[in-house]
Amino acid sequence: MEYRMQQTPPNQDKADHTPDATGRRTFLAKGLLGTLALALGGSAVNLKSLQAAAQSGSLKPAAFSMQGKHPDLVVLSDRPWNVETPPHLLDDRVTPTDRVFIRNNGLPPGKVDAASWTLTIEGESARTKKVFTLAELQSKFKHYTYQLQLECGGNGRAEFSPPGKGNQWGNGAVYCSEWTGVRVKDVLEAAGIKPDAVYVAYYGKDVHLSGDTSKVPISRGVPIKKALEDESLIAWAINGKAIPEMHGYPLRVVFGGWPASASGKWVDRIVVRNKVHDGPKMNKGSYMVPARPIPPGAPAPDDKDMRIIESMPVRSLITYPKTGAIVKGKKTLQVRGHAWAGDLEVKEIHVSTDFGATWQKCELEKPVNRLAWQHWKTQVKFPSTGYFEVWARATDTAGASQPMVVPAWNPGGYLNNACHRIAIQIA
Amino acid sequence: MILAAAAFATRSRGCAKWLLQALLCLLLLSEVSCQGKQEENRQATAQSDPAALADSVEAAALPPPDSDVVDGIHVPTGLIADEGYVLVRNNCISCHSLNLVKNKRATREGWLSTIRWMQQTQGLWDLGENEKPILDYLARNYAPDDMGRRKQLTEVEWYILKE
Repeated sequence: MEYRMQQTPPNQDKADHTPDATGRRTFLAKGLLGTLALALGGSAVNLKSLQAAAQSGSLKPAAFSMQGKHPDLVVLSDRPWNVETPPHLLDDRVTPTDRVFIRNNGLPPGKVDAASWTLTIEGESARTKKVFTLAELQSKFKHYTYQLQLECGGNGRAEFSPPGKGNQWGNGAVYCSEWTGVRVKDVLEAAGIKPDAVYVAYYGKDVHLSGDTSKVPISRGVPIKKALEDESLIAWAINGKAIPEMHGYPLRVVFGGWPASASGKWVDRIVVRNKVHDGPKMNKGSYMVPARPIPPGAPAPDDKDMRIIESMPVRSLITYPKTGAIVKGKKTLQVRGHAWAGDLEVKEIHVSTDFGATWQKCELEKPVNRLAWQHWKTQVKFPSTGYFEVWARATDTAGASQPMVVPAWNPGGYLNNACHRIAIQIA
Repeated sequence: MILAAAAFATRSRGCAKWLLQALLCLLLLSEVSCQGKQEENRQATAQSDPAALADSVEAAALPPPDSDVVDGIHVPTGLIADEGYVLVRNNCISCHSLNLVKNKRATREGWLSTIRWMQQTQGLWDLGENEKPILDYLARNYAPDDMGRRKQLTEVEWYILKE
């Protein structure tokens, strides 16, 4: 903890420092934090904290500040880029692009000429093969703009015990930005869809980590039914601007509410398959959970006994205040955040300040469009001074709620939708 | 420690790595010029400063002399400097960030299954006689902690909320 707070990120221009970060440092300098940390069981700097810092992935590699990202994002890996957003940075109703988490399986394609970029539609279940330039896509088809929530299938993985395989995401591998593009269904219908179509999958121009150009880093997709939904987009813009390199410039697909890995980046080919797609990361347990639950730590079943993750489960975040707030001179607190439920809507959301003994219902807005996350807020009262946690629990329209404990263990560490919580002190 | 690392980089990579040196100098300058208010905190954590260099693939590709080991951590890579870490660095860094190693926790069987998965799908080579020391190292230093069904909230960064 102390390491991250006291470190000046090495490659970060001072102009990038937010007022929040500056305030934090000033506060630190007064030494209050050290006192508090010790009082609450934080350890002084020692081997352990150095190890933790070295292992935390919180350090900013050289190239990171060049990507235009918010400086407080947490780098889990720089090859491939995997970068997480702390929940308090997701407070905006529509996630600003500089706060969108990054999950890459391979390496971005490098220099891209959007003017010569083409998208090919083909596959066993496409009636014809069609090739569109980006300009043709933009001129031939009607444009749509939706706010769509995208969450990594492994968001929350760090809480699984024993650990799940893959990036150890906290809670911040999720966002809801505004996408503009054309409908997948309009483009597929231009090529023609055979009645035996089962799956729609993407191929992109990213490069395999090994540098082997014969290898595809990732090629996933969704069943034809999901692909043909109104909100399924082939997009060229996020929040009204061209998609940044890390997020798929110049063209990608977006399937809100499903594991974000289904929403391929740098897409130059879409295939309409007559079977479940079999590209890399559609097999060997990737984005799959056991079809029948297994005990924690049990060997991973074969793919035939696994199911591919489709709609993501109900979940919510507390985005205000940031965890660790010391509230002075009052015993009330405004809390707010977002909630989402894959293909479904969130019906209600509650918060608890007593570890689930009692729950209080929050104000919840309807989604601005289908598959957008929903905003919630409430005011909580604390019975005394002291240490509290605020837990948030959303319930979807099918009646499923977030568990307070980490749900069914699975080898890939997917689908942890346990309640998000923040630590508060009433001083 | 930053000076030491910069000097080391200069010695070992020569002019060909002037970019890296420039980076290290920038880092040094930014450290020197940051607000005086942070001075005491930084001194308190002086030993952890070098780890700031640890997480780029470029830095991690430097050779690992023992002088770059601080409190058991090999500074340029951030790996625990236990027997076998050079093998881990050399075999893993070719394809991916060492963060993928450092952030992972697994039993020996878990690490082995990850190695097999990389060999089957990601182009990792046969590790040969190095497989055993690599597995020994990983299982010893990056073993899972039992966190139960829900971990306590730790590492909370406390601040005074102003509304």
